[in-house]
Amino acid sequence: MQTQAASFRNPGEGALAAPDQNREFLTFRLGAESYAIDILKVQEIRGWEPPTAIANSPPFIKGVINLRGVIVPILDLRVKFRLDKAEYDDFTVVIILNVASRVVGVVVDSVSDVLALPAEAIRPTPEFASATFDTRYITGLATVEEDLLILLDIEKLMTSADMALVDAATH
Amino acid sequence: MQPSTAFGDPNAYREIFFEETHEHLAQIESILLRLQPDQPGADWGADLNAIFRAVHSIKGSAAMLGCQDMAALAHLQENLLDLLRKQERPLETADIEALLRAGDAVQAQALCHRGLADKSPETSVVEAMLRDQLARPRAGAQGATAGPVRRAFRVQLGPLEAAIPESELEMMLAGLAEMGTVGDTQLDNVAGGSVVFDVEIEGTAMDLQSVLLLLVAPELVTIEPRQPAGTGDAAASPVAAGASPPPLPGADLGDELFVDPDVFRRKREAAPVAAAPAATEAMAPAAAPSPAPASAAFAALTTPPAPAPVAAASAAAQQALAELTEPVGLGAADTGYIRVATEKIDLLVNLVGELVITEAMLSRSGNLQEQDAGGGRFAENGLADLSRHTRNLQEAVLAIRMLPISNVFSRFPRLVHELGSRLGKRVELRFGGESTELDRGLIEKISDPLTHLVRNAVDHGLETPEHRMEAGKPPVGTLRLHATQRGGNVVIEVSDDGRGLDRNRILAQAARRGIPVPEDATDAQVWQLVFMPGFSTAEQVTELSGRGVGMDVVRRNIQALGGTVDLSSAAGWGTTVTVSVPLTLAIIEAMTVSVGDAIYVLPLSAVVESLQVQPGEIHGLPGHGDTLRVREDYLPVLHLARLFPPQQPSGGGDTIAVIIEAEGRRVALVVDELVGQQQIVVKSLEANFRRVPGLSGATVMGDGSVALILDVSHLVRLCSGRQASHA
Repeated sequence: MQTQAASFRNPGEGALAAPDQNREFLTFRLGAESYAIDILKVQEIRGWEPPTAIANSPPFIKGVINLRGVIVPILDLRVKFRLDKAEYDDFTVVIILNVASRVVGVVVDSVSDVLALPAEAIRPTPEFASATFDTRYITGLATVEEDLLILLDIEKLMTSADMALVDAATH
Repeated sequence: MQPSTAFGDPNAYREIFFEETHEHLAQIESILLRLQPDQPGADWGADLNAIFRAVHSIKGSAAMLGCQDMAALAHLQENLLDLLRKQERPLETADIEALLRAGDAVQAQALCHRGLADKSPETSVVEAMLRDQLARPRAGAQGATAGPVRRAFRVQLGPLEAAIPESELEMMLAGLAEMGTVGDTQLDNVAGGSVVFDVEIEGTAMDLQSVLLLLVAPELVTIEPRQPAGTGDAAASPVAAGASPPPLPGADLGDELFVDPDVFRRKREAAPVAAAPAATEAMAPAAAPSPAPASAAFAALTTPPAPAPVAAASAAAQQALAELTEPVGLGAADTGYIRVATEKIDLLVNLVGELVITEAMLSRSGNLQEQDAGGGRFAENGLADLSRHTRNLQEAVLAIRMLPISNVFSRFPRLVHELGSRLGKRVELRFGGESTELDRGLIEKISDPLTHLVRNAVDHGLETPEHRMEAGKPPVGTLRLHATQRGGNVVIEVSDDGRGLDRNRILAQAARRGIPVPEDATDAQVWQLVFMPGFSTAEQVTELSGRGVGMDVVRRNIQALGGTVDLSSAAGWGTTVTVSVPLTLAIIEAMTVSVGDAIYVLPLSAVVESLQVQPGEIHGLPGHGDTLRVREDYLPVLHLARLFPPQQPSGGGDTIAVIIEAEGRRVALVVDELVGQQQIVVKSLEANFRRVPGLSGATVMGDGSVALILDVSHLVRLCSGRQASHA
């Protein structure tokens, strides 16, 4: 599964935008919404391989895989947020994240472009920005080619208690 | 150490300097703790010299790297040590205390320089302590330059060109007699004759000479040191008079000798063996006397801390001192050890791990092939070789990971020393099996629990000297730390000969906290109560322990390493805590089992045996859950499929019971099948996921898939409510 890195500039910015004001984001689709996460938190993107199940885990924790010698848990966000159609086939995409010194894989519906968004393009988050995620995990909204992108704080999300990744005591 | 930017990165030298300083400080502390000032007649010369050299080394390097605060503090220590090693006064406890504190301060300064500490330590207290010790009165009324030691010389004035005026000779002899003793005089005070006499004074040959020069010309003076009554100066061979002040053999350590550079050079060319015995006697662990070092030693006597009056001599002497100290050594150079960066070793271990997996894969594919004869044999031999090489490589690499447990033990002398003085208890610390090795990763993790056990022993176990004597014990308590390898584990015993555990107090405490205890509980069962959280029978919570958070944390930490903790005690006699941890965590022999479609791994060291079991053989006993009779015992049964339900369970039928053992208890673990036995590399589940009760880690199998490793201690504990009983 290949993704194509693409650079996007807000129309009208041009040469006036200083490069460090543009942060790069990986965009992906989960259910009916599109999300953007900080590209620096993304280690790689892989296809699906059946993980080793860990018994007694919540259903959205599919198990662990061997990623070049490291044991990495795989979480299915589609299952977690009760979106339908959780299939596992050749087109299933797993984003391997590196957040809070942990390597974690999440399954999403599909992965799109890598975008650069200038700070001005990011609008503040209204009350009910996302049907899926609580507002505290959302850092802003952006519109790209008429699509609404929800900017997700993926690190905060993955380390939150209900992701069951981190022991409450050590969090 | 001579760092120089000409050799490249000065920062590399800083790192080396900090490492070496750390080692010097550790060595200094170790020697200081060994010294017993109240032992009369003990010879601390060798020890004090070793400490002096270590401090001197730190000072020099610190100064050259710009760590002036460390250099200054080291300099103060050096002055004190110099005074002590020359035995200008006897060693006192206060000296040792001051030097220990100073060592701490230098360590703290080093941490600050390395950026590991926020601010530089306050050193005024330590400096005051050192200065106080420096100011303490020394033996002998005169100051350092005069030399406090009483020395004897044989003086010859002559052959005289003309007679010395009688009155002047008499006055001189009388004067000398007042300062010391004069004897055996042969006064041939005529032209062509000589005046010869023995004199014993508190002063140097220099002093003597200056007196004699009032009477005769320098070239007529011969001064020969000799064995005075009662002191032990080494005799040196007589020195011929020269055209200038005769060079003085280095018999006197206490002297600040002035060395004329010409004399020094001449001496060196003449290869004076004379200087050797005295010099090497002074630098106790002696370098073999040979001309160059000997004269260097002679010159070395003028080196720091004495203000070297002649720059040339001083520079040569510095180097000579360095040369002399090299072969004596501080032990670091020739112990055959190297320092290896831990990351490199971890990488090596990972690589070897991958090799182990590859070997497993090859074996597997080798088995699957129905080979034609030639190819099959080749694969067989190749695999056999690969197997052997892999194992050897693995052993060699794991050996690098192993460190002797003395690394952990070495912290304790200081701790016990401090605790002992603070609590007014006298403790003798004894070690056994310090060379026992265990995995580097374990060394750190085992240090805290062991430290707690040592604290407990000194604080609660051992009584004060008065109490001990009342009980008929020697006033000095004994604390023994002993380590051995037993099977796949390292067993460490911490035993004290103190008051032991008080069964009644523990039972009372348990009653107070509402913990049920069976009527006729054995001692062993009562001691287990001590491991409950918050349990403490200490009368007072001291600053050190007694808050009752100790033993349960200790046990949990040890169990987290896959180990066990046990207690044994006898009231009035003492207590022994036995800690057992696996030798290495990285690669283990394992047995693989399956339940349904899931594969699990058991450490082979925890497996006692495995049996085929028919469903009817497992009985449910009321109050005991499922049990299985194995010969004479009924063991509690744990169904793995119930604990970890597989996604595709098997159909039932015959099963396998694997008898596993942990914490002294056995459990029958019921699984579907035995899959095999192999070495596996233990990988962490917690690094990216979290702790799953019942699992101690994960591993990668030959097909690249992950298998979970069962935590045998946890499984056994799950059954602990159900007692095993005898048939």
